[in-house]
Amino acid sequence: MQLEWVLRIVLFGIVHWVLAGILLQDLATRKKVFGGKKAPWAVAIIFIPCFGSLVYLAFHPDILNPGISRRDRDGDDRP
Amino acid sequence: MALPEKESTDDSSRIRWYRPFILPLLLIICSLIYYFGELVDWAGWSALHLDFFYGVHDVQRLLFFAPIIYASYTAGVRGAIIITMVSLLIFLPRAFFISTYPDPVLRVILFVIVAGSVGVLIARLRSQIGNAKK
Repeated sequence: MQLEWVLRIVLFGIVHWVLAGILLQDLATRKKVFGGKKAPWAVAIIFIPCFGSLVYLAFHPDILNPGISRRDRDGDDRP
Repeated sequence: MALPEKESTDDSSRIRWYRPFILPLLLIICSLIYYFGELVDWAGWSALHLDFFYGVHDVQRLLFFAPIIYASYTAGVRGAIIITMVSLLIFLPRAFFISTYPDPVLRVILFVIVAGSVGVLIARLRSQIGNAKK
């Protein structure tokens, strides 16, 4: 029973830190974030396991849609 | 000459507006199917009580290949890894607390390794094809 719980926590930790690593890298390279400040997002991603990362993904969907650039959102269709 | 260009621009903008919703929608549909048995029990929809939703969930898990492969195609390696991890997050509650079948965590881990590898390989292949075209 103990080993099973250790395995669950380790697995959950792996998921959390893989997501956190990718999203913190994105946060560091991003010029503008939702809300204007990066620090609260970093705190949320690190200290709210998985849920913080999911909320960051929900508010910054362009990570998964790199084709939709800022130029596209501004309505400029120049090639 | 101007008309076809305008048409293509309109087409591309028409295609674009729903693109951010495809991945979340795919994940929501797959999750609903994955937990449909629990949903039916919770809501008391006895007419929908089908054996398919109460067995080993390996078939339902295969549906998650769709968002993973789509993410790898549109968002590259990073997208494939993110969606694989989000899929794993969706699988974990069933593996930890619901499944009564043997080795639920092991089956989930094996699926995630295979699906993640496929996603990463597709993303790399697409990037190589893109580079070759340039």
